[in-house]
Amino acid sequence: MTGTLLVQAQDIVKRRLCGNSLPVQLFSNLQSAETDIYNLLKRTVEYAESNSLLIIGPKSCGKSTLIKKVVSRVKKNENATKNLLVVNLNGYMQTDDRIALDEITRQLQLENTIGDKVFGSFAETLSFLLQALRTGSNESQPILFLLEEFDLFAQHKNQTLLYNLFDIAQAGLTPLAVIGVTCRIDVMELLEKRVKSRFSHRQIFICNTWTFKEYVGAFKDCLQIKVEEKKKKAKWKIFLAKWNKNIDMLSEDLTVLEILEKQFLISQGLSGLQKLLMYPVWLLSNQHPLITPADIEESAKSLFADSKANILHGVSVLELCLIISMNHLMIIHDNQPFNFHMVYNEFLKFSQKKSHILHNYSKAVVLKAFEHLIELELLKTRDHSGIGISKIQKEYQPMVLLVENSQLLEAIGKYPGCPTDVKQWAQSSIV
Amino acid sequence: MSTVRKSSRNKEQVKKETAAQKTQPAAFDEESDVVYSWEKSSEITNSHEIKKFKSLINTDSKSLRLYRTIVLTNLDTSAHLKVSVGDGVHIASEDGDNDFYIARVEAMYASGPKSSDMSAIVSWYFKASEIPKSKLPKQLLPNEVFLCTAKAEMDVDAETIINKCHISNTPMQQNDEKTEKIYFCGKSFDGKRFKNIKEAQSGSPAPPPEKKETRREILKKSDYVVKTTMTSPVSASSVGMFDVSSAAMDILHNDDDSDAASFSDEENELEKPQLPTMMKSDEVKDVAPLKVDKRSLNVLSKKTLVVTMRKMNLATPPPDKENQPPDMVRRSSRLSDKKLVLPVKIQQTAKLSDYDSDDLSDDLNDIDAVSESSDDVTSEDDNGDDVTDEESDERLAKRPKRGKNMTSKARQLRQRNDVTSFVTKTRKKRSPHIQPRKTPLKAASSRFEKARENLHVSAVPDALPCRENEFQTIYSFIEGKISSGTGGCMYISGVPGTGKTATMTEVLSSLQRAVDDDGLEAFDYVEINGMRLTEPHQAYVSILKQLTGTKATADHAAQLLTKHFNQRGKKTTLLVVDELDLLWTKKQDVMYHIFDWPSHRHARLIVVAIANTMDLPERLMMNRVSSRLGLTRLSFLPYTFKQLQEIITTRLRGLEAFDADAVQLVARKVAAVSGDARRCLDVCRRAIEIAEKDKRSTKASASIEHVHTSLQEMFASPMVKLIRHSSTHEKIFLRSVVAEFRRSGLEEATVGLVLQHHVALAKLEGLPPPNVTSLIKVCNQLAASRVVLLETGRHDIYARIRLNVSVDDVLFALSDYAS
Repeated sequence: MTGTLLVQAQDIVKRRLCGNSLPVQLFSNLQSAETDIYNLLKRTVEYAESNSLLIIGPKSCGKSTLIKKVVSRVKKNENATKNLLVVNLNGYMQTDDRIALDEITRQLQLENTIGDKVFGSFAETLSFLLQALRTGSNESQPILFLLEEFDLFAQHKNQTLLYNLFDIAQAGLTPLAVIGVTCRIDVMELLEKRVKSRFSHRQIFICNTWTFKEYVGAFKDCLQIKVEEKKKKAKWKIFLAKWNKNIDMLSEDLTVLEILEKQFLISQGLSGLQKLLMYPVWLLSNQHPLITPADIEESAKSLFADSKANILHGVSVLELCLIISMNHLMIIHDNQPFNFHMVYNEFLKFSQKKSHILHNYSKAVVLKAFEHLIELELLKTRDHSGIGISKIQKEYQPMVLLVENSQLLEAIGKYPGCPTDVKQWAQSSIV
Repeated sequence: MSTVRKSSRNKEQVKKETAAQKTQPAAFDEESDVVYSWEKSSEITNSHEIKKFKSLINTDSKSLRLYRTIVLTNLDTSAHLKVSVGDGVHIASEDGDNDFYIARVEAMYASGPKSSDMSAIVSWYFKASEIPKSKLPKQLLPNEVFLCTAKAEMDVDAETIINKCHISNTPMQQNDEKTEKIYFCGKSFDGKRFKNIKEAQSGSPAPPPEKKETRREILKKSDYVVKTTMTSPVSASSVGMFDVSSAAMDILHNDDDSDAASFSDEENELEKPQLPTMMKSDEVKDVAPLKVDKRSLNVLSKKTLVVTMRKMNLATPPPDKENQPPDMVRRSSRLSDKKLVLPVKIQQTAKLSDYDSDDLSDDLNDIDAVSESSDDVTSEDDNGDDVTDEESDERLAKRPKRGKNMTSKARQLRQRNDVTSFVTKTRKKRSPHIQPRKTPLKAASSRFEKARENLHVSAVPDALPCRENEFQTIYSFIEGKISSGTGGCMYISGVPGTGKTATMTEVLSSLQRAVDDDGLEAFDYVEINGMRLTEPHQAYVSILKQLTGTKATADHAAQLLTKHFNQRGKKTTLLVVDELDLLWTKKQDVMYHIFDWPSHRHARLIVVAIANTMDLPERLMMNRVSSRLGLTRLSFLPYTFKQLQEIITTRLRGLEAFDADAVQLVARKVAAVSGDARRCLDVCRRAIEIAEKDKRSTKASASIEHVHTSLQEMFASPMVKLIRHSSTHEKIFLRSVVAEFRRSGLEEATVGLVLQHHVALAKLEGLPPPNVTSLIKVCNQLAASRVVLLETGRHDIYARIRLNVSVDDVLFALSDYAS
């Protein structure tokens, strides 16, 4: 029985973590913005007042959640449900105006008015849609255009779509509310001057203004389940009481708090927190019904892991030696590029004088190892433009190392069965 | 157009309509409540016909269904009136219940998914009272109407049909008593002069005179038949054949087998050759729908979905001699199918039997003009073509308005109707559109709401203040060119939001008024906007479409337009090109053409080009283009603060929603930045919103404080706020960037070097230094919001990084943190 209850609880939390369900209440930093946008949309719906608005804020500060929440709130109003048409566009999906226009036509269900005729050309689609929108008046149904990743729309040719949307919004034709969502602070500079002039310059900035205490509160909100959310069976209540108590305990656990703080210092956004919690929630099963601090620690380990140090665990001792010699070269030559022969000489110095473990590798074998490291992208050719590099013989191409000193030391410390000589060599460049 | 009208008026339905006309019950007057419904069985399903029809109304919608007959049911008397394609009708006018327009139904269709969206395509007729007395011909016959050959909207709501009438082509005798709903049409009127329809149709073949006698004989015969064949099996079967809605059809259908068989043979024979010749295709169409009718007949009888038109006719005895039972016509239509040449005449005679048969000998061409026969359709088509060829007269533009105003009448009718199943759609256009809203609009009530409405950029002010001089310049330029019949170019420049397009619109409406009142010569108006085109060459397509209504590819359109502007003897064309700079191409051929046309000898083209930049002709255009553009230039300077102040004050006149000081602050601030009127209005609107929300303020108007908040919101950069609220490591990263800049003395650094600083700074703060992957994540977060600019590509720690804010701003934002 606990099994099914657990699955239910897991389901609710999973939904939240994946952003499939809207929070009951928005965080305090979004609430004033919510009322503002709500009033704006309400005016569009009730008074046919056209508006344009930009929501700007850093990544994962809740911009999309905010707008989704507002739209769902507006739609609760019967007046709005009957009238408001919503067109959702995303800059990553509608990569040019042509695709965007087709999508708008589809979402407004205008394709029926001309039968199943497939639009011949971009020009036809544009004039068709403009005709549709420009023949409207106050009495037409209001339309909400939601442009996510607004900055990408500004990169379309001539900004035709934005110009026309803003122009219609300013011309008193079909009532439009154009709401752009973007994480680029400098988005206004992207707009062409005539587009900019037509934009109403309403901007709402959203920031994560919370303290660490509030962040821990958000952590609890993410996991805890209120009793009202599901059927009110006694067993469910008991289960939830247990579940919520465990979360309370977690939020007071020192290990958990330490991890949370580490995450908080890097990013205040919710998405980092959600990523952190996904692993422990997915791990739950009948044998393991409650989240433990160890689970979160495990998740944090993989989340904060250094990718390059991880890759270095998988390379051979020869390759590791090559990386060390490259590191030395970088330090000696103050980040100047090196080529294969320099690395080989450095490696020979070490293997001949110091090491007794390493065999005498032929040059060809070392070159092969070198190439393998290039494939792993632990080093790359120096030039930014890349022109002319391919003409140079492989052994003489200027290369730079992409591994930081700290990463290398961390990797060597964890490397299984690393020869002591190599370890010492890595720490001091003296041979 | 011509073909469609033909198709919608095939012989079979002509007969029907004649029948229906005669069953016109007296109970139908404009005062009673009327319910409109389709006669389901009259739906046209022949794909060929539908295709032709759709081209007429310029649509390709699948949901469109065509009908031949609409049934008007009077709620008071429960009498029915059938209006079919080809009938003359009274159409409600906006003037009042007692006035009406006369038109002839050309086609009827349902556009929506429900059968309630009924519309009709009509051709209009002028009543004598509608034409100015000065223009009326000297001789006026009683009840004479004139076919409208000027361009007018043909699409009306079916609900605006209030009654049926009869439009004849033969003049009536003075002593004819029943002339109330019978009109005579012998002339067409295009707003300027009258044309004899006979003349217009001189090309159509006139029936040989020797047939006159036969006609009259047939007439008499058919008259006789009407009275006697009510019970005859032949006519009964034919009723089943043609009047699908008849309740008796399932019974009758059994008797029909032999008839139907012979008929279908004929049908096959006819359907095979789809010849392009007019007559032949007519015949094909005539028969094809019958088959459909027959099929749907079976279905209908099973479903007992019947509109008992026939019963109605029998139940309500014909009010006068005219109302012959429909059987007569059906009988004759039956005949028509058997002998395909004959029926035309029978029909005509059936129709003409209402009048003095002596008139028959008058002129047989006259009969054609009535377009009661398929021959006539052809001839009237020619007429219709004349209409399209003729340039539309602006003075006659009141006609199309009529169609729109009709909706008010339709609404009245709707209000009186209590029938819930019937939903009125007040749509006129067949073009794509957004559905009308379902709940009523709220009206602005409070002072703030009204002020907000007035301050919206879309609000149209009564007059454009501060642009009087520019207005005058443009107006006199265009007016002069129009009245002298020459052409020319004008270039208008100005930064966005200085009222260029608004002034142009104002000029245009003034010109239009001048055309209406003072007899300025009418002109064609074409408008293109560079931003509404996908690429410069589409400008040709757009111009051609607005000018002639035809579509063509860009290259072809350019040729056609050049040809068009080389023709002599046409009206002046005013072409407004907005956002001219977007029409720039490498070869500049689009701009070249646009400015070259006015210099053609007979072009009579005035081009007004609008763009943002003042020096566009010098900077962007080749010499040969800018030379053609000429030196008539007008530049709209950005509004000064006084002008902006005036704009706001005029918009807010009568509403004390804004402090004078506050207005001045906005005006000064905006004038200092851009002089953009749009921006100015937006700031004010936002200020009013803030004032409305502000509960502390006791004053009921927006004060300086509110304006200040509004300006802050719109002009302030959020960068500092964003940096203040970023995470600890993001702040440290920014400090590291600054530190690296200081170290190297450059305004650019690579990520790797910044990371070293970051680790050191973090240790200084007593924080555990995060690893490289986490730090790259921090860097990416900052780059996503463009606080720093990061080189794209796979450069990893060698990616170059730059600040998007000044170093001072970063330090200022981090000052409280650093200290």
